[in-house]
Amino acid sequence: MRVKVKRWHGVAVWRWDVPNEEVCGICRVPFDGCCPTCKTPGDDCSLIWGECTHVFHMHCLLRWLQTEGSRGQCPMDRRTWGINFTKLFFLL
Amino acid sequence: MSALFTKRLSKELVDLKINPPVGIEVTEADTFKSWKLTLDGVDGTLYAGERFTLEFRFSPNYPMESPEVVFTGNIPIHPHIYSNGHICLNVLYNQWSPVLSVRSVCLSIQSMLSSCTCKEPPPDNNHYVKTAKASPKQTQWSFHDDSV
Amino acid sequence: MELDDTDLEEFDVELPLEDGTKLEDLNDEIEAFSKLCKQMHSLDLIKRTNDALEEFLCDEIELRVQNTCKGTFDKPMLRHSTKWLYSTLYPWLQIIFSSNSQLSHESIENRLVAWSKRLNYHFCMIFCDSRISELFDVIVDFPDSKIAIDDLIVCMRRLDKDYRYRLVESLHAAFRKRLLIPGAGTMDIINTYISTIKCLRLLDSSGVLLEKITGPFRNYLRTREDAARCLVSSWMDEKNNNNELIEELGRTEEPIDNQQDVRFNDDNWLPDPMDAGPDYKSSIYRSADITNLLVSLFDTTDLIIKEIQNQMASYLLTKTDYDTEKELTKLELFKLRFGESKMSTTEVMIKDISDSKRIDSFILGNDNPLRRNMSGSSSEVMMLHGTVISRLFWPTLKGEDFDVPEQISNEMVKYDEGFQIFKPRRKLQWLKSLGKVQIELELQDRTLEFEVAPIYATIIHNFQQQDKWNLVDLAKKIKIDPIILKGKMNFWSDRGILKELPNDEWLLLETAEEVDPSKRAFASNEENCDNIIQSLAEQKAEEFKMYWAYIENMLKNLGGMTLEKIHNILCSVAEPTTSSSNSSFDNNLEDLKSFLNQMVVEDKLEFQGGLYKAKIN
Repeated sequence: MRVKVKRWHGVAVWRWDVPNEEVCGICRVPFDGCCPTCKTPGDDCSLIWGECTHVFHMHCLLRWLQTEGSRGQCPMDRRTWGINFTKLFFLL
Repeated sequence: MSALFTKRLSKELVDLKINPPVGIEVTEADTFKSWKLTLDGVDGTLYAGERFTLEFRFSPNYPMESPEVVFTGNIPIHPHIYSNGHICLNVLYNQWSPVLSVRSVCLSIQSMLSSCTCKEPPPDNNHYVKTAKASPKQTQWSFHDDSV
Repeated sequence: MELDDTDLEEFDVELPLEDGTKLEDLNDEIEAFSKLCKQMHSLDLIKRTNDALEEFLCDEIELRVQNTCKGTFDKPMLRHSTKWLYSTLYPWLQIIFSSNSQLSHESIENRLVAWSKRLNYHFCMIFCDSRISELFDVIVDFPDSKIAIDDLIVCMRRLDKDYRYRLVESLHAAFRKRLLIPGAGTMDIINTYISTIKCLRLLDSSGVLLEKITGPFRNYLRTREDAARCLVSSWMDEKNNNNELIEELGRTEEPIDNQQDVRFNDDNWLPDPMDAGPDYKSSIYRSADITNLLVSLFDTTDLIIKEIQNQMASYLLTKTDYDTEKELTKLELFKLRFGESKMSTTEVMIKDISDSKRIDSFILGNDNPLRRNMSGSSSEVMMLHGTVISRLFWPTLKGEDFDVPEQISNEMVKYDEGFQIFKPRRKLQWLKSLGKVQIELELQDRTLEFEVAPIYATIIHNFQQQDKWNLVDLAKKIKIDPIILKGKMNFWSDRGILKELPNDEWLLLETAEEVDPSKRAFASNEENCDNIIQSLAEQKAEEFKMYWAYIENMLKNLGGMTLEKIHNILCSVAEPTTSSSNSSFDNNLEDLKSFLNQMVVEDKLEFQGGLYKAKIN
């Protein structure tokens, strides 16, 4: 017998490249979900990585950085926040 | 009220009720404006057998802004706790961060009590209590001693 | 067609009688009867027979309703019967009255009018009683029986209000006896409810009658686990073109949750009718919206929303063409109906499918740099296509993990690599049991095409290298539980491709063997039974597991508790009293009971004297 696969339609889930089952420290929603102000995960509610390696929903972090109390610091370690650009590469 | 505020607080409440930390119990959480929790002194510490009540008041900006946290009723005698219930603890003021929570604040206060070696009021208690505003968040705190 | 007393003079003696004879054919009989009446008059007997006469006429009317009207819902029986009264019954009366030579023409007329009024009323009562007693059948036949409803409307208008209650009671009894019984299918019950709504709206525009008969439906449908599923599946059904529920779904006024009882700016506002019950909400029962009435049978819309998500997921996961046009149309209808925010999860699911189309064409297209590099080799045609979903927005998907054929698992890796270029910082995790595979089997004597679930394709693929497998060996090869595998093997033996030998050996049939055709017919539908979405009951059980540690601790610390007490405590624990909260413990008592009983079965709890107790280890 010869089995010819003409088309294999599979189903996959996507995950952010962060440790499994982790939640955003600010909103407590899983990274693979979206921040409380968004309705759609993924492209519309992406993550942001800091130089300090901490990760948040981008919207949650920006909201924090806009507050006076944040003094531009990472919520986890209170070091000055800097974006980790190597995590933000896009293909040309 | 923002979605962040309500979703975060409901998650925290469910978590506190289903999986409460030892010696900490939510006793009043009818609204998202303010909650009351009881805090039991840990066995083997100066506060063993005592029970205190903490009141959390949330601004609509929670968790971007710290909650207002005070002791009510029976106020523990402690070098960092004023007799009007105000607590001198940096994470409640300039060291607040949105990754902190009601649970983590309670645990910090619990450990602050547990590590106390001498039950006495803060040295400036009388002056502070006379001059302090109702909300401890309006006080200009200076944190000298992070170790206690 | 109305039973109007002024019709009296309009009767036409030329009309044929029911049995085909004409009044003029009866001339001899009329003459004889007229003679008899005159003689009786002269003997002054007529007066004494009045009672008997009335009784006789009433009996005739009852017989007429019984024999002619009963069971006929598609003809204007009221008009036919009125005609019969005036053309057949009353002429005999006229003969009787005319036999009194002392009476003036005018007083004969007056008497005739008086009698006909009484008899008309009697007819009306009998006819109404008959229609009310068979209203259930009228409803079942609706809309073919619309004429019967029209007749009933006319009759009820002439009778006192008492008949409204009689109607409600009789209908209640009929529902209890004939519809709200274990033997009736849930879909039939729902359809009958729809017909009932339509019929009662015609009978009573205030909606009071409808409100009164809704209770039994609500209570009964609550006992039907599949009620929400039936309702939603008829909304989702694409095959049935004249699906009434879909039509009704599109006829929306405003989201259900936003409806208020009193609308101050409603120009058509009317006070609630006198006989309205306490549950009567004019806005719902008066409005023409059948969907809202159906949805209002459920305590919350949450159950329905969850069911929509589940069924939508099933539909979307079977798609291989990424075409979501129909689902989007449905989504818009659901949004209008249930509000945008409640449908946001479903919206993400549909968006996942259209996003998948873009992802798939990127990965397989020339924009994918990984493809560009290898476009030289023609052997690298990808067979794999993918649906990429946002895991937290889909119902829990069932399915085992196993090893797909090597060619496909290699492609899965490449697909993931392509995905990571298209969507940086994200990666894929394949749900191997989900999806659809088109395969062609070239056997010695036949070539067959199939569209099957991945597990079946994987099984048969392994028979390419060797034509005989031991079940356990094959299970090891594709890394799946042999018990699960065994159930799946039958798919191919039912189709005459594999044959089961003794000792769990399976053999490929290179040449076809005779198969019992009845068995084959049965097999063709079997694959559809693979349900990939966790049922609501299973989801509930999962939810309870979240609370299990809490329940167990509570019972250990506080001792045995009744079901109700546990339920109350869970409700207070899980539901912050602030209404804006979206976390909720909406599980009802029955669900909790079955969960706790399951824990008893699993020996994790004890049940004694009505109390659930923790197991003491």
